Amino acid sequence: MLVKITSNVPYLKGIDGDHKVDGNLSVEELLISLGVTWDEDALVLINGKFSHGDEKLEDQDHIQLLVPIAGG
Amino acid sequence: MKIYRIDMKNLTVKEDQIEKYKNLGGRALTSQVVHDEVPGHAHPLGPYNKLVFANGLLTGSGASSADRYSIGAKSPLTGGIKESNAGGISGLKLGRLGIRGLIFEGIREDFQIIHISKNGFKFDDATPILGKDLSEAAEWLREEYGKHVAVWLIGVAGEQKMNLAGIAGQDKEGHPTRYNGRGGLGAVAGSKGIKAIVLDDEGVDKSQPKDKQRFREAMKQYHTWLMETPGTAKVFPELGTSALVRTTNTLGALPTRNFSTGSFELYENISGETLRETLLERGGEGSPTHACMPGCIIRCSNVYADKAGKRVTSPLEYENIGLLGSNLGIGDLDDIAEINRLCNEFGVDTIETGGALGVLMSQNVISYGDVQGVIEALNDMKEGKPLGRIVGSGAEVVGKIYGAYRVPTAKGQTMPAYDPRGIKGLGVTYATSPMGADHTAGQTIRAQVDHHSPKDQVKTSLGAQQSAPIFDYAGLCFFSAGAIQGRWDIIADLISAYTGQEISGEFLKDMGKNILNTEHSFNKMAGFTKADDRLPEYFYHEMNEASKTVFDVPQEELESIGVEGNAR
Ligand code: SF4
Repeated sequence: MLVKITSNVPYLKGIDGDHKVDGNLSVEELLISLGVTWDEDALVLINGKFSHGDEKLEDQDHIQLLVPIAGG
Repeated sequence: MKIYRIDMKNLTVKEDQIEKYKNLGGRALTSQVVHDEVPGHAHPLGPYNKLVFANGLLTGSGASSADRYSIGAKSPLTGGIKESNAGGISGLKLGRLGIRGLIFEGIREDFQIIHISKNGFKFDDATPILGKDLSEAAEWLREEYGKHVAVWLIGVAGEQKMNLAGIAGQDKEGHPTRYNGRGGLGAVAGSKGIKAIVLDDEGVDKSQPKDKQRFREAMKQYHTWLMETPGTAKVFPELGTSALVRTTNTLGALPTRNFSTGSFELYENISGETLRETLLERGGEGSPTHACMPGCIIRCSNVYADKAGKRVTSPLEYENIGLLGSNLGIGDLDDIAEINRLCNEFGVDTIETGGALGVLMSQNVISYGDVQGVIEALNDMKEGKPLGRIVGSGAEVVGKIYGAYRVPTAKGQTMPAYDPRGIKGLGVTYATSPMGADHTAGQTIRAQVDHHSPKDQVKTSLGAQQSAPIFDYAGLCFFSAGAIQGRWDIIADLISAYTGQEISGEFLKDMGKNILNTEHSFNKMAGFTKADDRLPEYFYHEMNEASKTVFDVPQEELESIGVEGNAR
């Protein structure tokens, strides 16, 4: 199945785009396998909703990585 | 480190001897003094209010991003306690002079320049810089007192004692653009006749840690964290705080047209990414990366330049972009930068100004997107004309005068650039913080929680509200938070080694809670009740179409951490 990632985090631009994913991966597992540190590198949305990390991925899912800073 | 009391009525100075203040710094000191010495019912612009400047405990130590200072008083905007802090180099210079805090008392009609050097305090007539733009006034001060000095000063808004007047400090290049903006502290300074404070450290040695070896070791660890954490090492230096435009727009929390919705169709034009590209393309005096104080590793600030590469303003922050941009329907960085520049020149809080103008636009006094109309209103403020006076009173007063229903304030203070329906934890902070609507009082956007759900928001906000004062006590920039990650023992080590006062990480955590309680208890004395711990009504029933949410955190839960929950 295909999962799309859109990253707003400048140093994680490399993982932008479609990813072929096999089987039973969760959002957190996929991101970790791509070198993203959970709860540190990004605020993570899955299909526009906040991810808890444990959602099982499905075909055509869309993961968004938002910049996780604290404002000014 | 000394604390001085300055009697502005009689222009006399004495060293303070109160034992309990000796080990306090930053927000701990400002809030304790206001709590202990200002009557709850005092008029903010009257003789019983006090204006307190206090360096953080690490200010001047050489640790990265740690030269911040707090200014506190009873606020003319909220009627409650206020602490506002900033970076730059003014605190650093105060520390070099061996001073931790300044407590200003009394009021006067004329304006003074207070010159502080190793020879003591001197009062000079401020007439030559009255009515001037801040860059011109700061330039005059440096000509008069020497290029090496740093200054604090108020602008025309503070002279007119407007509710949105801030106090400006100086960045390391000498520009008076680092603001203690919130809560109308510039009006309190104006009421006391404080036009400028000149910090002259000529002939003064750099201060040294009490235990150099221990300090070096703790600092090495802290700096390693800053350099290894992606947020502080990569995001802030590249995009600054404006990296948040895309984040909040996605979450439906970017204030748009007087907080009527949370996403802006022109957000890409004003995003951190566009800001960076624009500045790199233009070159010249602009820069997407800038340190407001020497040695800051994070360097979140920027210098905005025009098409010819000439400096316009610094910094253009996320809050400025949100409040002066999308909130006013303005989607062009050059326009926002020009409005920001005027705010800095006149000495006003950009957030409150954006809030006041947004409410004015909602009443069709100026149209959304009307940049010229905004500039004229700001110029009216400088000249003290009626519309300028109205804007200068802040969003809440504008709303009352024009009969507006939608006024995005809490405890009378404009919300920063996060719609509380899109990031509900911040809604809790706005409603319950003793400061009124203030993101720095308890920022929750960083947490990987469902910001659209009412669940866990009170807990998240309370945690943030209790840790924010630790930064403000230590003099640390809040942007180091992502790197420190609550590992307070090393920060306690830094403070112990620098000051010689032995403290622990647990002590710091207790300090955070104590400061918050002290502030709530002042507000209680000032007459605040749980009725004040609310957001404006429309956020509870009008949907933010971008986030598809209303603010629905249960009120009982929220009140448990508000004035009556906290100040028991
Ligand atoms: S992170 Fe930004 S605001 Fe904080 S000290 Fe550094 S430059 Fe100043």
